[in-house]
Amino acid sequence: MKFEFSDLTVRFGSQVVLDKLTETIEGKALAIIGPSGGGKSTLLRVLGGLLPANEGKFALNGTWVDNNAQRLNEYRKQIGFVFQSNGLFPHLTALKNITLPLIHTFGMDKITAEKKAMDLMERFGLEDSSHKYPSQLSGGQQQRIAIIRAIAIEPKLLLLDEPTSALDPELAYEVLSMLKQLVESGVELVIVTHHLGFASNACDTVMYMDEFGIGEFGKTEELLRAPKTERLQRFISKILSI
Amino acid sequence: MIWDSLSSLTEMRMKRIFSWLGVFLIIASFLVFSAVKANVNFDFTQMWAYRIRFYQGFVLTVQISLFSMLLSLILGALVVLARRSRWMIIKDLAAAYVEIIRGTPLLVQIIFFYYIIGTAWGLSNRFVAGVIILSVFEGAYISEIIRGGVNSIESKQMEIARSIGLTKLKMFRLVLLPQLIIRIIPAIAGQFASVIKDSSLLSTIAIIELMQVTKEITATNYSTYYTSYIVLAVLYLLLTFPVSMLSRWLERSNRYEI
Repeated sequence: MKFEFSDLTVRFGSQVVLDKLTETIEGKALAIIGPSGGGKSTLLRVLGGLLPANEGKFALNGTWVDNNAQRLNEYRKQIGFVFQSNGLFPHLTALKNITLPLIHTFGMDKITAEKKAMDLMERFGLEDSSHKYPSQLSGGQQQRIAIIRAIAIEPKLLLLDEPTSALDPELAYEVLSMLKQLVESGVELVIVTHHLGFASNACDTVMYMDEFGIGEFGKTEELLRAPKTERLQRFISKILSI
Repeated sequence: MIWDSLSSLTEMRMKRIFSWLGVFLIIASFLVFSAVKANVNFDFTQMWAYRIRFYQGFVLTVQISLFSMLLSLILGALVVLARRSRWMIIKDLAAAYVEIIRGTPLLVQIIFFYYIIGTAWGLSNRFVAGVIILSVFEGAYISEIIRGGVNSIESKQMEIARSIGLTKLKMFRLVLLPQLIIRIIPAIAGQFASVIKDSSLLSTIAIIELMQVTKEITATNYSTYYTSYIVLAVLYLLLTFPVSMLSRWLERSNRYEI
């Protein structure tokens, strides 16, 4: 994937969250790291077409995206988005959660959609959960179903907003190892995460972001081993000290 | 094992039946005791003579209630839409409607609407007027129930729906509506029971529904005063009880959160 940002600006009231972001970032799996309140989730929601930028624009793989509602909806169809938590529809079973976009956004027939959903659930060992409602699933299972829903549509790109932050370590591991598997099978993704381990094991590119904007980005190995900016050095040593 | 759980199930059921029997006995003996103490004589045999009039009143109450439930539901939903309108005047109009209707007694509204507005606009059909008045009254409450239900569905759900590329109409049909219905069913059923009971106030404008039938019977034959009203109460219970049972059943069969 290749993202180009041009003067990307997002404000909430008088608070400027993204300030004229201009950058070009390439990679197969991009981890966005940094302290809370640094605009990581905001940027991800902009990239997912869920939050229109106040100013500026961005391009995915050379195609510029603007704020036209219809074009934005077309753009969203190419993106799989996974939320922090409670990202499923509570009134639908796991299976129906996965088939809903296939049937109602992409016009797939019910039988094909269900077959596809079941195949994916089997691949990730979740076939027993197919007829359960989200409230009957563990947090880790919920997130994995949400990931399956996002990849079932065969998106150009998978976006994940701190998908493990609400989970205890064991369940977080389930989710992260599934994501690692996906990356290895060629799925491209952008993930906002606090797991530096996951970032260094599964992602080829890392971007550091804080309240002053994009600090630095580059190949994971170089960036995490030898951070250039003091901001990133401090952030990494803080996380590793716990 | 199976027999054990089966017998414990029947045991539970027996306990329930005995409990309800006990409740019935407590209420019945309290009422009978009070009646004896107040020296009231119940003679239900006289009631048989009025069966046809009671039946006619019952049918009219059912008709008024059914039409009013439907109309108030439509009105309530429209008011919710109006309160989310882009135009301030429509928003405020809807808010004023809800406040005025909920802030004044139904009896006042019936008299005001029927004798002033009804007369002014040439609405002389009592049945139609009664249904409209009752619907306007209940619609205000129903709109608040629906509004509360819509607000209780997290905006997150809409964002998820957007993230998977659903159109606005599909978001409404596949995400909002099914969750909304499950959440508001108990409150709506309670309001429907109120519709049935509140329809009794339409007797004020001489609609011959159950209450008016009872008023007329007791006016001509004073000795049936208490027994008529007991029959009336039982007939209302016959209508409201199924509504509450139905709502409980719907609530159970649609539950997805455990």
